[in-house]
Formats: sequence, C-alpha cells, structure tokens
Amino acid sequence: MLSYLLRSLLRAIPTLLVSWALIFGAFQVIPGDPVNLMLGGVPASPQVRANLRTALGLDRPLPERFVYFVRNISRGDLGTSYRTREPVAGMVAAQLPATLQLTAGGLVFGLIFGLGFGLLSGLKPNGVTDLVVSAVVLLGASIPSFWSGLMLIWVFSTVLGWVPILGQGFAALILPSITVGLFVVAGLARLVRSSVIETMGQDYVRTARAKGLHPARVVVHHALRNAMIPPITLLGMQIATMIGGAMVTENIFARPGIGTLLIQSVLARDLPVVQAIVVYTTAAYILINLLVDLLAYAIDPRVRLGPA
Amino acid sequence: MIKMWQCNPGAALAVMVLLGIVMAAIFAAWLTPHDWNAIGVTESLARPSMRHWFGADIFGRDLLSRVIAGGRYSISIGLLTLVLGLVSGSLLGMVLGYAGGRIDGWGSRFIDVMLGVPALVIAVMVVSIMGVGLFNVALAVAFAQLPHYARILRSATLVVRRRLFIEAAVAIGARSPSIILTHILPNIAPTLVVVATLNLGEAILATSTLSFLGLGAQPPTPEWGSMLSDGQEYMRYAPWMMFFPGLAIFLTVVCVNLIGNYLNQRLGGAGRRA
Repeated sequence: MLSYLLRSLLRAIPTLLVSWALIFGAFQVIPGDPVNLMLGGVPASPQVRANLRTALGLDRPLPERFVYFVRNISRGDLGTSYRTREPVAGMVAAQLPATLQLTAGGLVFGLIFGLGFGLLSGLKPNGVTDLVVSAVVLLGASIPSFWSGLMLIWVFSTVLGWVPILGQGFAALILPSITVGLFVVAGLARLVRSSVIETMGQDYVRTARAKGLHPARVVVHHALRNAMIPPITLLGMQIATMIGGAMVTENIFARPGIGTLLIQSVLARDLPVVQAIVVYTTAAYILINLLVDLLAYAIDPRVRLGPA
Repeated sequence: MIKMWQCNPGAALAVMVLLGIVMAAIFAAWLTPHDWNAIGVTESLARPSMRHWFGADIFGRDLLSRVIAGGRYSISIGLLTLVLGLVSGSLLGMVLGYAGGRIDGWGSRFIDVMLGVPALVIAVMVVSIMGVGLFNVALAVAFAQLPHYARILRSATLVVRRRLFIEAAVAIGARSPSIILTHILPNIAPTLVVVATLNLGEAILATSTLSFLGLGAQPPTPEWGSMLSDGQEYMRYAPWMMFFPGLAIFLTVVCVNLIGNYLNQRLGGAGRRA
C-alpha cells in the first residue's frame, strides 16, 4: 500500500508542476503590460512604473519568476488582487466553503440517482426501466445546466413556492445541488449500467449463483464490488465538470463561491485571482484523482497485484 | 434515410428536427416574422400570442425571430469550435500515434496533463487572457477540448499503424506526412466522424454556457446563451424569455447526441472514452 501511495504521489507531482508551468506560461502571453492592468488606466510616472515592476518581480528572467511562482503557491501566497487590493488567498478562502457545500450536495444527488438508475437498468437490461433510464440519461447529458437551473427555480420557487431561491441553509441548497448533480447522474448511470451488465455475465457470478447464494448477495458481494471500479474512476473526472458547473450554478442562484469570484475576476480582468483559482482547481483535481486511484486500489485486488 | 427510419426512428427524427433548426437559422432573414433587432416599446414583455408566438423581451423584440436567428450564432460557433479543436487535436493525435517512441511518450504525458485541468476552467482562463467575445470563446473551448480529440485519435492511429499497408507504404518510400494524410486519415475517418458528432453537442453547450456567463456574445447579438441570461432577470414576469432559448439549445443538443449515438453504433468507432 505504502509503495503504491508513493508511486502515485511521484506521478502526481510532475503532472502538477507541468500544469502549473502551462498556466504560468499562458498568463505570460497576455497582450499588454501587467503594470498597465494593475494601474487600471491611472497615469503614472516612469519611476512609479519601474518601482512597480521591481515590486512585482517583472524585471527578473522568466525561469526565475517561475521558481518564485511555485514557491509562493506552495506557501499559500497568491499575490494581491488588482481589483480589491486584498491578498488573493483570503478572497479565495472566503469563497471556498460555499462552493464545497454546493459540490458536496451535487455529488450526493448525483451518486444516489446515478447509482440507482444505473443499477436498475443494468440488472434488467432492455426492460421498461432500462428504456426510461436511457431516456433520462440522454436528456441529462443534453440539457444545458443554466437552463435546467432556471427552470427548476421557476417551477419550484416562483410557481409552486416550495423552496426559497435565496438564503442559507439546507432548503436553499436543494435546487443548486440538483442542477450541479444532473450531469453526474447522466454520466454515472450510463457507466454503472454497462459495467453491471458486463460483470453479471462473468463466470464467477454464474458460479456464485450456482452455489445457491441469495440473488441479493450475489449482486452486492460478487458483482457490485467489481462493477464499481470504472464508475469510481469516472467520478474523479466528473468532479472537474462539477467545478465548471459550480460557476454556472452559483451565477444562476446568486450564490457566493469560487465560481462567482472567477467570473467576476475574468470580467474585471483581475488576473491574479483568475490565476490563483485555476492553479488551485488544478491542484485539487489532481489530488482528487490521486484519492480515486487509491480507492480503486483498496477495492480491486487486481490493481494491487499489478497488471496481469 | 428510409432504412434509417426503420432501424432507428429516434435518430431519423433527430436528423429531421436538426435539419429544420439549421435551415431556419440559414434562411432566418426570410423566415422570421419580425426583424430580430426591432424594438417596440408598447410590446415590452408581451405574452406569447398569435402576433408573438414566443412572446417578446423587455425591448419588445419578437422572441421567435430572435430564437430563429440565434441559431446562426450558437450553431456556427459550436461548429467553429468543433472544427478548430478537431483539426488541431486529431493532427496532434495522428502525429503522436504515428511517430511513437519518445515523441509519443512526451506528447502523451503532455496530453494527460492537459486532461488534468477542468475543461471549462481552461476555457475561462483563455477568455480571461484573450478578452471577451464570441470568437475568443470558440478558440477557448476548442483549446480546452483539443486533448480529448488528441487522445482518442492517437489510440485509433496506433491500431491502424500496425497494419501491413502502412509498412508497404514505408517500403515504397512514402514520406511520413503523406502516409498520415493518405493512408492513416481515411482509415480512422469513422472514428473521427463519431467523435466529431458526439462532441458537437458538448461544444454547443460549452460555448453557450460561456455566453450565458457574459463572456461570449455581447448584446444585441441574439445568441441563445446570452438570450437566456437576459431572460434570467425577468423570470418572474416573463418566463418565456428564458424558456424558448433554452429549449432551442436543448433540442439542438439532444438531436446532435441522438445522431452521434446512432453513428457510434453503426460505425462502431472508438466512441467516447475520454
């Protein structure tokens, strides 16, 4: 276990560094001088400009700046926002809990319905349930999340008045979670379905049945355990989609969060904040996939023993 | 077409609906009942009626006309995104798959890293660097989708590369670029078609999402995503303002996905393994 963990970590670190280098590089090709952006059109003497350049470290060579960049990131120092002149780290940290809540809500919704739908249709392929689930999956993958969110608000808040649109607490989290989780439901249900169908056709499942085990025990103990590997891997990737989805959902439901901050910063060309959010999202994403890897390792002995 | 109707009525219906939407968008200038930018103060937020089938927005602009005309922007930006991403991504994938060895090793590593960043976040980052606008949104989404295409087409190329006729082409002295374009490309074309169709829906969704967030089309351009964003403000008084543009996106994407699934079954491509 320990050596596997170490190896995964060693693979994750270069990935992280290269993606940060890409982000760093992307922000170097911005047309226009960062000093101008920071001054925001305020006239300044050449001396002031030169001081700013030195303060920002812009007079140093590129590789050296990248080393500083990585060092600052790992220290949690993300620079100062052009817009508010506050430290970026504090701004991001203040928005983080709201987004985490939303993502967790979406994940719970997506897991319950994605697994449920996938199992229902996978255990009885080509039945009526299967047909209904396939339709739901197709619709779920095709519906724009900003539209489904608005329609949900309109139906459940404006017309029926069941849940509040704004505010804090559990009730206000229901509709946003559904909006974020819809994508997860579609992707997960499809994969769980095909995975379950494949596993149920395996020899060891037939053996388990032939031993006279209870059908439920066959499904839970023999089939599910193996059928869960691909969906778990997918879930790691889906979290990326959910981070993107949070941007839209927070906008629709006027919730605070990382997504709202990102969009505000892009529109205001507040580049340090954009950069910080992209850097940390990437890191979070790589970390999540590392955890997913470890989870697959814990569940599946085949991964543990290496490729056969 | 008739055969298609018999074996997969859903896909056949999707082709017809999609053709209808595309035709309407192309001939919008003749088909729309009103000028899509004409302002009428007295008809501000008018309900759906015989005169305005889909109602009117805050400026009294006819929504049916705007939805029809919106297809011009939304669908063509989706297509542009697809073409940009597919051409660059598949070229990269084919070159990596064909070259093999160290080039492939480093290239694939690079693709893995790119896949490690959420696509919508990359797209937003690119827009923040290049500035707001429809064309930049297309570029940004294409850039974000590029690694997906590259990965799928790389594996398709790897399969073709081992075939005997490639060896024969090398033996008669054909050069690598010509082998890639005349021997490999035709053989991975089915995969290319399937991947393209399955991703067109996603491209339309992603570009209209960015427009909805205010990063793409700017007023008064009737783009579906930005129309929805206008409708959001008047949801309480004029729900039709957000209903119809969203329905247009939804219908288009459902049709594209149905056709993609159909092609995937027929051509049996690599499908979506991203």
